Amino acid sequence: MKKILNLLLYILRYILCIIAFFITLYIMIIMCNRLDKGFIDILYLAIPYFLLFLLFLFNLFLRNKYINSNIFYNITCCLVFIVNILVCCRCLFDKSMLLNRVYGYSINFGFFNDYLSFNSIMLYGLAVSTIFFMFTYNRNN
Amino acid sequence: MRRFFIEYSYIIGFTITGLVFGLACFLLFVNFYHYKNTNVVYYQDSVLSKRLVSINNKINSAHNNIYSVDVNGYSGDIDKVSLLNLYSKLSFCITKLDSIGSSFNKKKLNVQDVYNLTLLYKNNIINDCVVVQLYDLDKNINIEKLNIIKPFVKLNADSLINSVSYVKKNLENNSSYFLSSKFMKDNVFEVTRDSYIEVLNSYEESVDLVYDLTVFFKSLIGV
Repeated sequence: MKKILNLLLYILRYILCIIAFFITLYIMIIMCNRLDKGFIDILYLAIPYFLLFLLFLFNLFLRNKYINSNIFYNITCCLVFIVNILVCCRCLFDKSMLLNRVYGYSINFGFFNDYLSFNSIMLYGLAVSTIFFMFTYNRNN
Repeated sequence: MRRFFIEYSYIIGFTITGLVFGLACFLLFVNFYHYKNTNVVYYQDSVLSKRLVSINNKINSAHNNIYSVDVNGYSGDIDKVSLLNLYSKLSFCITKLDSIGSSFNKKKLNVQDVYNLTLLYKNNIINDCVVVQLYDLDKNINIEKLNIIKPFVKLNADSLINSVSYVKKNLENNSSYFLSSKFMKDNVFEVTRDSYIEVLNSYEESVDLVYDLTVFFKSLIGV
């Protein structure tokens, strides 16, 4: 049971990472258009996603069981991306937050902006913990 | 130092993962709680319904005050053109009050309805009636008795102009997470209900102002 659950979460974290990245990027591009900023200005937001995805792929090829079979780590990754997707969906579709219509873009940029710092903390935190788990792998190998 | 990190990297990795897990759980629950709070529906009670009935009666009285007089047939000392100007200002305001009266009668209100009502009231009554028509009441109107009530009208108009600005801003800021308890919502402030009551209070004050002006107008004609 534990192995099946871990396998599901292991596959889900890749899918959720990609969905979370693209939905965040969509909102960021519209935000940049609204503020007349270039794409380079929001590139720094894509860095934690790329970093995390690279670490995931790196550990996939290394077959690091301290990360791939770590159920707590997999749950945390999935939870982080679910929160990311949930916040982005609320920015886009939750009309009870009145800033959703005030800007005229049907996106609540204020709410999204408040969340961005938490998002960076969680993604960089996951990347750092992945690196620490990789040290463990190296030590035991 | 390197050996320390390699030895304890498993613990540090789990610690950081645990902290990230805690933060993610916090954000998840805060979002659910915030969603529940912003989707509160307010049901109009009997006290407010009675208040709306009395406001409607006052608008009807103001209506009668204005439309029961024959301004064209007036033959007194006061300048007829000025009377007609005053008449057109007041009848415009009464028309505006009539047009938005039904919007306040909605029994079930969510935060979007209250926000729409605030905008409707601000644009139609505050901007079109109070600011444009009543603020400079003696513009193109040459009636001596108007100087007596002009300060009263200006004072009320000033109070009305700013009365719903903070309500509008407060409603627009409902995206921020706020963790108010049930006690606070029952006793202190609840966004949907109290914003609606503030707009209703302002609406009642504007109706009172227009009604008082129609009584004044009727006294000018001598009816």
